[in-house]
Amino acid sequence: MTSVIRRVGFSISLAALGLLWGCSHGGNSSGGGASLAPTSSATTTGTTPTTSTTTTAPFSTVSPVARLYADVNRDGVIDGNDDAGRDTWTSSRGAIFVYNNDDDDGKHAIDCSDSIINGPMDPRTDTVIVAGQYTGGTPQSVTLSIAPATAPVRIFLRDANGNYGEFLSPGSLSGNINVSQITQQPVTMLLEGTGPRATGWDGTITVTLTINDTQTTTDTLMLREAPLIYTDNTRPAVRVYAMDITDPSSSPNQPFWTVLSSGLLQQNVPLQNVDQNTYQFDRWVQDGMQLGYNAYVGPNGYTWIDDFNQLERSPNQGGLWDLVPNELLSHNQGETYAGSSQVQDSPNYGGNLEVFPPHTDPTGVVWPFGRIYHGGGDAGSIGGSQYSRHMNPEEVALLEAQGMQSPTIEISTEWLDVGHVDEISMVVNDPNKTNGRPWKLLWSSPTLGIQALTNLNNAGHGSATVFTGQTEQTTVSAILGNATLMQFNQGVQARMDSNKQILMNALGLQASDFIEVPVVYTTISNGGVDYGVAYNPGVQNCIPVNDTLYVPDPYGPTDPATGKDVWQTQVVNAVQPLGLTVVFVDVYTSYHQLEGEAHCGSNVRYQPYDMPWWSK
Amino acid sequence: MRARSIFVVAVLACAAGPLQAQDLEGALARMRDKTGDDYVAARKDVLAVKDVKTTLHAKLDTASWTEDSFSDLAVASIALAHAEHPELASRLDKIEGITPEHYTKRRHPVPECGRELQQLGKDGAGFLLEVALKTFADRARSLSTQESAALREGLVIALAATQHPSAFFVCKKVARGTSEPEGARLQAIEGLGTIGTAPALAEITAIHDDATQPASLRLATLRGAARIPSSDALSFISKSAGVSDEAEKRQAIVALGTFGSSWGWKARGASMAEQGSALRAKAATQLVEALGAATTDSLRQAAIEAISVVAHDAARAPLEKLAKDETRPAATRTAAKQALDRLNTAIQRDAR
Repeated sequence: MTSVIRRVGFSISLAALGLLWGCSHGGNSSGGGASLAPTSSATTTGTTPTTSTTTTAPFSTVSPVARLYADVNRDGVIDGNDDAGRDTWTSSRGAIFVYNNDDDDGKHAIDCSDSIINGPMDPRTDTVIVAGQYTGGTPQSVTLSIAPATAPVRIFLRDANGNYGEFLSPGSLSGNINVSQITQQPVTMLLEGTGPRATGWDGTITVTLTINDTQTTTDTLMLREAPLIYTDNTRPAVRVYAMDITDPSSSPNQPFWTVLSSGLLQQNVPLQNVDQNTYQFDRWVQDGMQLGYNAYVGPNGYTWIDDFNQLERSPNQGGLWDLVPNELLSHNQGETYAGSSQVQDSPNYGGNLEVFPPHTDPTGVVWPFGRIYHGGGDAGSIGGSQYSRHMNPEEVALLEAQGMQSPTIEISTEWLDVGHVDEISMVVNDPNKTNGRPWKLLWSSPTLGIQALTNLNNAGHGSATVFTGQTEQTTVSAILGNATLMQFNQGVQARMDSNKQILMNALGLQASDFIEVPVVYTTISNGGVDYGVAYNPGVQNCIPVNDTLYVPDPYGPTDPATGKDVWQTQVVNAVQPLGLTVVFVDVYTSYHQLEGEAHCGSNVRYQPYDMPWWSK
Repeated sequence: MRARSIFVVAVLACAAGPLQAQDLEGALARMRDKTGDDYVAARKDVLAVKDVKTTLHAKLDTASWTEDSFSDLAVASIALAHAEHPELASRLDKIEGITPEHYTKRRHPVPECGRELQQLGKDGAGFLLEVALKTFADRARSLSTQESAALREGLVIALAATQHPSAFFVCKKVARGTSEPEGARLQAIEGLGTIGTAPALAEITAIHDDATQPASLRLATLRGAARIPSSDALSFISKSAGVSDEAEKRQAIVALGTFGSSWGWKARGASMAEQGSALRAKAATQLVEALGAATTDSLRQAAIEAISVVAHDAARAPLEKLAKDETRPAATRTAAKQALDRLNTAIQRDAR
């Protein structure tokens, strides 16, 4: 992350320093290398300057003892204000570095995967560390060391000729700095994270400079890596991703696409088409990735790399696997991959990873970045087949290790065939703050769905068609007369009530925080186990874009008295008081019949949280 | 050679004109005994019988389905399905749920066709029977192991759902078939519950009580029995609620809930719901007993959910007593309080 260094009487960017110091940056000396661009051109997507009023303090990069400099006060400038507390890390002070996982040179690999500076834009995501020019004598050795040695970081060092080369590779404990170099000028280094925070490592490292002269002097910097933070649905939408499927033999989604694209145009939110041919009609754009960011301090303050967490999917489904590395990974758009030690089951997909917005829990703990939840469990099927299904442990470990939105919460979804939290719930805005909380949880309710059918039946409309025109077309009375289906749905309701209790306990939610919407479930048998799947298009599985919800058309029966779909009416009645606009989208043949809905077929990049993570 | 034989038979049949009703039994016997192309030719002969629909109806409407008569009646049912609903035949030609081009598009991309086959409805029973008994082996040759297992599973689910008289015999055979995929065997046992007759419950009980059967199948018997609205089914499940094996006990608790489901009984009609109230009350009180005896969170949680599924007022007083019983462990009392809350919510829901 390129910082500006301010000296007495003037301030100057690292790039300019490079020029002043005769820098001709090179990843390797023979390859011509990259050169650092002016800081201004490295400006990133950040929009929330946080510390721009810092007063410049005079300082010198010349020292008779070992001395390290970095942007300790997180104002994008290295100056005298960075002196104090550089060997500690608190919420208010301490240098920051970032997992350099974007792709600044367009090679479809994350920048930190190699040992070079990846083009002129790359250094902005590296942290500048300067070892002061040593004037205390001619030392026997000068050593720079990192702890813990296992920390995934790399340090580039600018040599006397101004070229940057790898000085410490990930896993290296220490390296020697050329004595003649450090006694003649300050030594500039760039530090990049080469992996995200991981189990047992909270992102903290110390960098120690040791100068062995007649006396040994040391200086230590403490830095901390930015966590990966995942956004919730209530943040302003930046971009929506979905697949425009026109191939008649591939369950095309034109009714959905047309309404969504038109709506987003009106909302001024870009819709990015995930190409059907390139990605082999793999329409589950929600499932292959989870979107978030890793934030740091740039010259203009708080900024970030968008993060695309690549999620492992089952061997049968690979079309979207290339989406992140081939198309989304780019300048300022990074890729994270938790790895996998097992054949994947669907609970590891993105539809099973959602985020509760910022809140205070019942114990008074504030969660400024909300809290991650996912589905799984050990209770097994609604009918009693006992088994366990959980999100991939590597993925959970990655999420937990970030330390911002965890411990994560698991609710029971193992009873579902796909097994995702978006099959039963969805976080949405509540601009009207109907009970004081500015967000709510759409919550699937078999009770509501069946109640609407019962009302129709009682009014003498048992022959009204449900799922009209579809292969599943049936009648109100046929559904209500199916004892096995009703038993199953009452079991689902009981499990949903258990899940509700988990969330009430963990988050402090009240009953009024759950906005119940009608979803009836049916069974799908795999290996003799009756899993659950939405019978009507799952209306909770919507696409929240600011104050608009793109809700699957539930294909419910029409109430002759009103001429309206009874399930649609229930949805509108439940959601409108929040101040949200409901747009129904037809996903029946394109997604629902394939075990997904609107949310499953899309992904939304939301704006990062305003609050810098280091303030937590 | 085979093709030529078929041709010759066909020519002879044409030359002789339509087969008469008295020829039907012979043609059905060929259908029963033949496989492959010979079977198809025999079926064609049957369908060529004059007034075949009337004749088959007469045969089937008065038939007594037994182990001995099953094979004959099954082919008659197949023939009748072809005669009455030829349009359904093509829906089994290509089953999407076991076709990779289709099922790999699903969010959970594994073969599954139970729902698709159920959409055939009762009229599809003969076609399902045909695949199960006559053409499965031919089909399976072009399917992966997973796909053929899914087909077998889907067939028993759909056939049981039709309540066709043949379903009992097919489910029984598949449930007992050691060479059948486990998924199909499990669904066949649950299918016996869907069929819900006294012989079906007897078969369920026999499988459960057969210690040589795999544990997974014996547990499935409880899920099957939970679908049968009878006091015998409740008695059967209740026995397992008291066993020491935790897996069986837990399955029995869930099955008691399913059995007593207020929504399930309501679906069977007002009079059944009324009749079922006493059985539900029994299930509810047994669940409270099971909650009181539960020694693990897993059992307690299962009981709490099951009590709310039954949603019967009979559980209220014993739960209140359990929640206040200081001689009980704290976990039990807490669980009883939770169950009481959940019960009240469920009863309120049902009253709306």
